[in-house]
Amino acid sequence: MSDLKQTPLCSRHQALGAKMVPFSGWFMPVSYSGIQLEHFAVRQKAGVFDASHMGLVKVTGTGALAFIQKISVNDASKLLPGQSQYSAMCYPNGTCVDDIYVSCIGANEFYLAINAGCKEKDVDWMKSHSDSSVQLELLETGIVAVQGPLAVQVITALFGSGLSSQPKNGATFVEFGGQKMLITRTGYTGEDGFEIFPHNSVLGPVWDAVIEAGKPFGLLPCGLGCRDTLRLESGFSLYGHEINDGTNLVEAGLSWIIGWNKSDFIGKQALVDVKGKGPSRKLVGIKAIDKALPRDGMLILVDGREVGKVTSGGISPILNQGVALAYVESSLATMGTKIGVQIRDQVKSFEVASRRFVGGK
Amino acid sequence: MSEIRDNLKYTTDHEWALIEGGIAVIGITDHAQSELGDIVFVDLPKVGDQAKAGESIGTIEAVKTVAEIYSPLTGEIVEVNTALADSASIMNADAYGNGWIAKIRISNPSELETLLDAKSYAAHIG
Repeated sequence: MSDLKQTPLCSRHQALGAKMVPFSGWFMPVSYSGIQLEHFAVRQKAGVFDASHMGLVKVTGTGALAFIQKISVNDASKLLPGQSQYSAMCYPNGTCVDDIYVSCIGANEFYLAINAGCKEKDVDWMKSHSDSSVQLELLETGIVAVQGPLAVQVITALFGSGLSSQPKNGATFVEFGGQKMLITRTGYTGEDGFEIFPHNSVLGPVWDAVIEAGKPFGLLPCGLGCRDTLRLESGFSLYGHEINDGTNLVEAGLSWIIGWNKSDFIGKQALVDVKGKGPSRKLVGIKAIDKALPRDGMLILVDGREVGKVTSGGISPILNQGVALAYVESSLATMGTKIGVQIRDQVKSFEVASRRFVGGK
Repeated sequence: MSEIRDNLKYTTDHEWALIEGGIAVIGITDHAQSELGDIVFVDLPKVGDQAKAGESIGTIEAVKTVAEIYSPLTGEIVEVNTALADSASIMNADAYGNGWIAKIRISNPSELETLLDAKSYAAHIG
């Protein structure tokens, strides 16, 4: 326990009665009032998350855009100042270093949000592909994510109405306690929401202000437990589960973030090859037909033959049904295909479904 | 603090048993439901099953984890709480009452001596 890192909000979580657990080397809140209660708060009203275990890298310099174009698969040249995009960094073989969010503030100023467990690896990777025209800085910032249909009202109450007109994936700066901080209209829950990136010195006051401003809207502090059920229900990949250094972005269903028309980026040739041949397996959503809870690592079976594996599984609180993301042989990756999941000593019936279990097409 | 009731017997695996004549009503403790968090499904034993003390008679699926239900005593399952099949969360809300799991006809009364009383269970969960 002693070597676990803590965010500057740790004492606040404990004062709020959070159940704390180790996650990616950090001591983080898993829930405060109950995972499902927090899940419904985010789907119906608003919730606030401490995501300060994640990292934010500032990229500046005349070579900033060219650098990002090289390490990030999405096409950052399409970003206007004030816009963000989801992307990933790949190895030359098309597998994933990390998934990232790229925010553009100016022609020579970008911010890259990266995963907690990948920070050191990512920064080393970035440094090894940068030159003197690029400055990289891992910022001393936290992340406060305000999510849910009423998040915009909480944010408006705090920072004024200007942010309500910010489009999805918008990125701008706000001021709080004399400090400027990045705020993006992004999230990891499938709901509308904002992510605020305050300097560590004002992280506590920002968190307190969000909790206070959120009271009239039914905002709850939310832990990593519902962060996981929300992202699973929305079909979002989690690094280390759906994507990692053994999966490529095409089989992970992330072709849509790849800037295929860019002249080059690390991993492009490998990804073009996979796309051309077609991936041998694909990431799909699966839904339990009866009551069953699939969990990470469980095997997918068809007629007793192993055809894939669950990468993330659990309950969809909205559907009250077991759901999972899983890799299956590509021939099985069509909606409605019946498959089995080995759950302890039983094989339970599932069907292939949209990865977007809730709120999707 | 978790609730511990004086009139119940306990196992170190966090089940409770209420002894009523030759029948034991069993469930999981308040401490157990709190540690598991939101319980979403439960695989119940069947009436007529033979339960053995310390062996699994079912499974509890919580959002974050799965746990076995270990029978506190040996005997025949004579009734199960079918209400849990549709709303397992009753175990969170009322672990010692409506969240009961099954009733067992005790076949080996000497096993009662192996169960913990409230004070010992309180010491066990610290």
